[in-house]
Amino acid sequence: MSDRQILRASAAEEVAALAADVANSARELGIMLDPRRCREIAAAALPTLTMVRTHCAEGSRRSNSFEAQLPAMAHSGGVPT
Amino acid sequence: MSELTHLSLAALREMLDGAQVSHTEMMNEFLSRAAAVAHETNCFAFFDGEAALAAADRLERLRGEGAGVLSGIPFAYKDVFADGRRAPHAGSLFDDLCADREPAAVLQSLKNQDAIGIGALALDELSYGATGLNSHFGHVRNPWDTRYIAGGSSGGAAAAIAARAIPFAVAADTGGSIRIPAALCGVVGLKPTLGRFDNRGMVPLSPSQDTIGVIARTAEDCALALQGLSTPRAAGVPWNTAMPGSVPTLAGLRVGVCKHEFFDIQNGDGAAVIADALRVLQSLGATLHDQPLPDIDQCDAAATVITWIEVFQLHRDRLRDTPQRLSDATRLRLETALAATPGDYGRACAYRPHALKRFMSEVFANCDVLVCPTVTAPAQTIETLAGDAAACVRLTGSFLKSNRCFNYLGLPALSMPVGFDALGLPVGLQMIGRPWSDEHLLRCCDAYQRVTHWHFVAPRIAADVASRVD
Repeated sequence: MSDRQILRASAAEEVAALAADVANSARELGIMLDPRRCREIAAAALPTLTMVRTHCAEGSRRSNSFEAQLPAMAHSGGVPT
Repeated sequence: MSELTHLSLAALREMLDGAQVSHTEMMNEFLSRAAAVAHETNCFAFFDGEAALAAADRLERLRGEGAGVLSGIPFAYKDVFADGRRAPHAGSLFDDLCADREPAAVLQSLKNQDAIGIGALALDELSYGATGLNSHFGHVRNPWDTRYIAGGSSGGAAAAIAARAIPFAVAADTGGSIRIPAALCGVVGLKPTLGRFDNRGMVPLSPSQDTIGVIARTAEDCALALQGLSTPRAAGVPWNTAMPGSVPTLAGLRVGVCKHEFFDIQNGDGAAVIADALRVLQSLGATLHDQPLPDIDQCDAAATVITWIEVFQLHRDRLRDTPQRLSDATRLRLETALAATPGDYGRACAYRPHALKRFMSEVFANCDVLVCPTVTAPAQTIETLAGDAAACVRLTGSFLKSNRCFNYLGLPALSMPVGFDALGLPVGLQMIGRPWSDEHLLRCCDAYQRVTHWHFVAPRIAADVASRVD
């Protein structure tokens, strides 16, 4: 198997695993979804979720409120005023 | 008399104060125009001309008692705000989306200043889309070419402003819902800093990102309308009209041009229009440099996950119990949330202050204002999209890429018209500022508009409608 084939196989497995999660969530919530739709959702959502799960961990250790931070970030920015 | 609807807010005020036009004459003029434009573009969800005329008549009898800037001025609002008369439907078949029966805080503020709401404006179903298409109540049509979409979700507001049906509108923006239609319809749309206005009485979409804002034809009109929304929570700098004829300078303003694939415009003529606009900013004294944006992919992904989860929480029961009352496109988007976990939502929320801090230290240390195209994908025809839910969701995703990261960061952002593409459709330039620099952004836009004419150009539909009204 080439690297590209391995990657593709691995992505397909990830999509399949996520599709199973989608199907479970839908069943628990009483929402009707067919398997094909679950796979479509998984394929569409995977890149976004991978980004969040991989790269958004750093902030999770912090606890400061976001909206409370906005005023502190304000500056009188440039011209014109 | 039809030129009345082309005037600025300040000019309308002068005409009322100088008794050059009565309140009822002005209201009749706008109502006639609004009715005709609504017919052409489907921009109104609800229209109450009788109540608006009664309010104008009441003000007429009180004339001369120290009226404020917005007194007697007609406006309209996205159909997500409770107005004290009818429940907002948010472009959906549901009338139980907002528990408040009192007018929304921002509409009450405008009412207190005697501005007159003439009706509610059309939008994407539940505000959850960026095309302006609505399979329940009809698609909002772009006044520049009614074969094309107006953008969304505040498509009705942008179309109504562009076609001169109303001088300003109150709208809301969660991932670009003010800026995207403002760009496609050639008007100014401001999404203020997150939390500036009280969201009470508004149908939420993603409560941690929803931001109330305004759409008008000029920065000055936006600034005056913004003052009208003011509640005790608001903290803006009062807008003072510049001396007539004076050209403000942007000398010293450091403008960062967003560098990331999210902001690469896909049509060549649109890119040329944006480049021209940047040259105008330079001619006003601003200095430009390319500005890389740290973590913008992560911000976009986190904003997406937060939106999925928050919208799903609001409409889960509707999706489960009455899916047939939702359009295919809305169902598709709602169902996507099933892929995310509470842990994903937690990570996306927790990352937010970190991302803002980094953005402030690495981006706004180098520039005062960021600029980028408001939308990078070309507008499409209604015929191409209608009935194709997957295509609508794809185009919405494409439009959101250059907008929603700034909602996640809570930053103020506006879109201003800077020209037209080869199809004759408007091109919008987005400006993004530091937290609470809303008025500063409007000042920059005002400086641009004082040396350009794009905001004066009216779509042909406005003239056609005017000739029929006359």
